[in-house]
Amino acid sequence: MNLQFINKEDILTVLKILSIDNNIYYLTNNLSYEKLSKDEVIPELNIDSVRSLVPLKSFLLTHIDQLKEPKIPKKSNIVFGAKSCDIKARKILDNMFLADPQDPYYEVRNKSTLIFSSDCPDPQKTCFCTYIKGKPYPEDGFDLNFSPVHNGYVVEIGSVKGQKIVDQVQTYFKDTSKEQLSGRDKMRESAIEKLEQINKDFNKVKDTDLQKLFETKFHSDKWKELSKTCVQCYGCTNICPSCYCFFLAESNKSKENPFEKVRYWDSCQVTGYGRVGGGLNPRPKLYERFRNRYECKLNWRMVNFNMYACTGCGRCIDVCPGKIDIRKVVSELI
Amino acid sequence: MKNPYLATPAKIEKIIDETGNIKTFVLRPEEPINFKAGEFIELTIPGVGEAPFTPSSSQYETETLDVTVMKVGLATEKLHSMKEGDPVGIRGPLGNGYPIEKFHNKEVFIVGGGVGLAPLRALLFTLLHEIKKFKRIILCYGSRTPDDIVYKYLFPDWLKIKGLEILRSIDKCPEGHKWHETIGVVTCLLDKVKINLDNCVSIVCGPPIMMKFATLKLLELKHSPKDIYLSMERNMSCGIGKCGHCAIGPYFVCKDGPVFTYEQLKDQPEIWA
Repeated sequence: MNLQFINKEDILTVLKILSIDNNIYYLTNNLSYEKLSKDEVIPELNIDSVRSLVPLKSFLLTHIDQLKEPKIPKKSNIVFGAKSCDIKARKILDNMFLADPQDPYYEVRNKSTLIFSSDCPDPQKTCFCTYIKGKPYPEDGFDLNFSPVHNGYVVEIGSVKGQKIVDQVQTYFKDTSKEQLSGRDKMRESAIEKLEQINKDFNKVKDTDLQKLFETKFHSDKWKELSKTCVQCYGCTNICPSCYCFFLAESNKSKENPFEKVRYWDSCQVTGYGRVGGGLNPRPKLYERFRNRYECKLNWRMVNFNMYACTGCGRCIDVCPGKIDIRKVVSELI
Repeated sequence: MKNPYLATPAKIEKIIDETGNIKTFVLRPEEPINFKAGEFIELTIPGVGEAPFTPSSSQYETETLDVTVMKVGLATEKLHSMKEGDPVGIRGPLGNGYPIEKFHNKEVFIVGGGVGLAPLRALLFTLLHEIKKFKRIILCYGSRTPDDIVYKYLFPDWLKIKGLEILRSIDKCPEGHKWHETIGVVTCLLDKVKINLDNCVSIVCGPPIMMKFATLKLLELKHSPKDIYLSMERNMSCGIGKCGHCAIGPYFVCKDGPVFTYEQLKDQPEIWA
């Protein structure tokens, strides 16, 4: 494991240097990603907070995409402050979009996106990553990972690209001390403990093989009751870091290419999502579409990719006007 | 690598009226689309959108390809109003077709309903191309009325082919029509054929309700689930297993199908929808 230390006050300097060749998007106090501008003196940088409101997928699969010829951007994007839950969700997107035949638009963005992730020392009340095979810090899938310790960060190098960047600004990095490493361990343990506290009512979720559960719960009569407060706003699928479904349409914008397409994020919760021309609809009822989201995430993607397509980020809980909590839904079915 | 979202320009070369609401469009793409029977294409209807169709022509004809289309929704309505010479786009071929080699030396039992004969016609052309490789070919075809039969003009020739047996049924015979063959839903034809169950494959394509009851009937007649091939209809949109719309459980019909064995699907929910 390749670990370095950086002082807190040096981070902005490093970002400024890197911003010559890269677009830097950093996590802010209000949980959004802001682009670092040249003249900014002190950005509202806060990589120690929880995950951003808008998921990492926005950098890889934009919500509206004109499918012109895919172009490799001149500058790479560095996303600073991405959390473990989003990085895991990216693996689902990779599995979908990089499988043969590759999606050329995703591929180009994926290649030109660098992840500077950070630990999640202070999970919030809807976070439950450790209850669904996750951790509040990433173990892979990043170029650099930043763990807050006294006066600075322990930086883990996770890729060749990450190593190159550290080499480029080597003067700002130092070797780590024992105290810093034990500080990192303590902070991580404390985050896990906080998650235990937050989710103490959902211990059943943690101890259950969810795929096995959902294999047997498709015909449960509880789905109607569980979906009763769903108002079909599609917030849960839009905000989900691993939801990848899109709607493909004609763009009708290009005179040179009459077959140019556009795509939008779509949702399996939409009534007509699966409907075919002849009128057949595999999921005409609300509870059937509601159930589909759970089966997709906790059963079928496990069959395909050996991982859940839910990483415990809790965004769907935060966003739901019907107060539907995925942890409660799963608990009810156990 | 070719952009999988980019359509190949094509022109409608000829339009054949099949029934009151079904037409066959002969398409000439700028570059050949080398499909295998059972694979599908996404047809772009400019200004409206795309819809998936399985070509109904022979895979050995590479200059043009046919799609046989029933007027059911926005895209097909627009397509039906188009003229010979009009431009369209084609993406494909997509998905997996019929595994013809697995049918060699077997009795091939084909069950079709309505416009579902379109993919089956492509299959028939492939089978007839090397007819000696199959023990028997039996086609059971059901339609609502005699007027709803597609490819009426092909049946006289098909009936002359040695090694191909054809049984047809109609749901009802309107007054003034003559019909000397079976009346009833297509499943009632299945009892009439004696099949060697140890050495046969059955292939089903048609409207969902017909696919369901034909499959159940075949199972009742002791056909093995692994030898029943179904052409599944779902909302295939991207055609390359990305957009999610055509999912049946862990399968994406566009990528893992559209041809599946019943064995593959039998434990999945929502297969008949």
